[in-house]
Amino acid sequence: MLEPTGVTTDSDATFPAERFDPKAGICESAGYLGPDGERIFVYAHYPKHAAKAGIVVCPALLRDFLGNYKRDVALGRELASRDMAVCRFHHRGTGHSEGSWLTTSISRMCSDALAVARHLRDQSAGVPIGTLGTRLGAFVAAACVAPQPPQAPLVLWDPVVNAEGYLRQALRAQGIKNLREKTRETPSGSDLIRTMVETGSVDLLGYPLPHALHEEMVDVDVLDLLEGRPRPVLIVTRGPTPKDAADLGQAMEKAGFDVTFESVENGESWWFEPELLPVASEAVAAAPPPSAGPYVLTTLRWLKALEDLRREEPQ
Amino acid sequence: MTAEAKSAHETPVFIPFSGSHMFGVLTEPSRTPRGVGVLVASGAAGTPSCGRNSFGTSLARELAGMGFHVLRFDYPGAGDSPGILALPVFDKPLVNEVVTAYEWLLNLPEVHEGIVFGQCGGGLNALFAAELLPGLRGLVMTSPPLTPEPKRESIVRGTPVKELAGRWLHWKNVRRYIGPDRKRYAKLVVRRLQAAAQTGTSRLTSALGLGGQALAAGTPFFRRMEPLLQGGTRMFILFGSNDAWYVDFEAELADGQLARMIRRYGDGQIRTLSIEGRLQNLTEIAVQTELRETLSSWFAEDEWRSVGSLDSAGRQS
Repeated sequence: MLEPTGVTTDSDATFPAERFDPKAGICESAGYLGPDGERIFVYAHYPKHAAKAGIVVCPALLRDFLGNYKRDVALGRELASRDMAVCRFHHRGTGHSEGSWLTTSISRMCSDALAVARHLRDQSAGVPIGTLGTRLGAFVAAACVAPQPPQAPLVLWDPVVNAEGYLRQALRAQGIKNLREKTRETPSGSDLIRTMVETGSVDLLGYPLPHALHEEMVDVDVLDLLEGRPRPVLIVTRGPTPKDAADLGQAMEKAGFDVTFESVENGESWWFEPELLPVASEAVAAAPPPSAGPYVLTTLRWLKALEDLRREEPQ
Repeated sequence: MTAEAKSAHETPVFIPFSGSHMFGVLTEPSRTPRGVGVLVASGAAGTPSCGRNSFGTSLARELAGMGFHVLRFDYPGAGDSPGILALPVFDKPLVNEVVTAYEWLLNLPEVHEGIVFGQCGGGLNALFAAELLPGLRGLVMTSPPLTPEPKRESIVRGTPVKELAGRWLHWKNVRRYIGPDRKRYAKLVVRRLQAAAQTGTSRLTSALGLGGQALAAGTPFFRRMEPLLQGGTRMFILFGSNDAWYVDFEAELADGQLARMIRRYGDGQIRTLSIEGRLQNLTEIAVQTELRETLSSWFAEDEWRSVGSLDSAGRQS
């Protein structure tokens, strides 16, 4: 069990921005949770009526944070229009939140998520709070859902299970980027690792990865974070389920979790998604992408099936 | 030394726009307000306003620590704003979005004048919107698209070697070449030489009738700048040596409309700077740091104080 650090209370919550979307029938609010200097940015989506359940969306980290952002937003809005309350947030030291990223740890990130889950439960009359975690956010989502009742689901989008493998891929992507852009420095992977150890962090595609965080992630097991309390789990992966995610799912099943695997095809890579272009051609601009992509649609379907199943169960 | 603002000085806001809203975060000054608002128009193709590695957030807090009111906002469909993302096309930039956010900022009682900082496509949006922005005193653009497509292969303008050499051998630059950052500047010079060589090659191929096409004189981008400069708006254009339009920028700087505008209005009113690396998408922390420091020193100038700004006691000066 990880020790939470700097857990915030709801008395520190300020949500000055609110809007009602009559078309979608949802309310949204944005604000901060936590004490001065350590405030966590939170964006909440609420249904017009009382929420049936809640979801805390634990964001992807580092380079994946922006790459996955629109999916999290789309999911929040879609779920709120289906009578679920959703809170998205930015970890301390990231996005609009306060604090330093270089001093972060898994326990601090889990404490951010738990504070958000508490806020959501207070706002939603104690409904069960499930979590969603993308990539490295899987660690946080697992720790955040552990204290929730067993019907609270866990959704993992392309979970990163092996932190060492993640770093290897990241360094490879960084190397390719350096070669392609002929950047000022083109250090090798081992140079980058040495830099991380010596200076305490390494630049991965414009984001610092703290050495201490990486070391911690190598030692932590997602299954351990779930504290052996079985619950429904959805694992969505891009293309065929990678071995790491498949192994995690099987270990969960052995521990009594009800695991569903789904794979989606969208032809993109986490590392080499096309960067956001400054200008588009007329043709591209004329056909905006749909707001809810395959990850969101798959998750909505699974949550709906879960809800139908519960309704059919004898009371 | 500035007192960097924290989120206690920040307020998330929903700005009414086209029957819906745009999401933004207002950062209020943590010291005596200057009476000047800064609108941060992020890259126009979907980046949330917090930016890569929280660049937008940290810049906003730093500027608020200098006395500016700063608004960073998400275009419709980008970041936390609802709606469908409209990817900007070169001659149809997202003008209304910038105008609406800027007007919202200038409607704050303490804000009398404004500066817009636009990154990549956001710079293009800001430039095309500029004539509609009342009280605009400054416009900062990082790696804006200068033409619909970068014309790396089609620049045939000759580089005036004498002028270029004069600039490179200016004492300010020479100091950089021998200073602690000499390695980086040496690389920049190499890149400039490569760009000049490319220009020369293009000119030769053009003269021999082997292709090449002149950079369109008077592109919409530069045509838009002229009236702003005439109206007294200060401009700062920054490019990274790995940016898509960098070669076009260098050619313009060597002997194009940009060079003529600099000669006419002086580098006090229009400044340019090349940074080694890539400013588009800010995919290197070193570049993020250099950009932030450069912008900080530009914004720190005392000139950015509104005529109607308040003194430390909150009185109108």
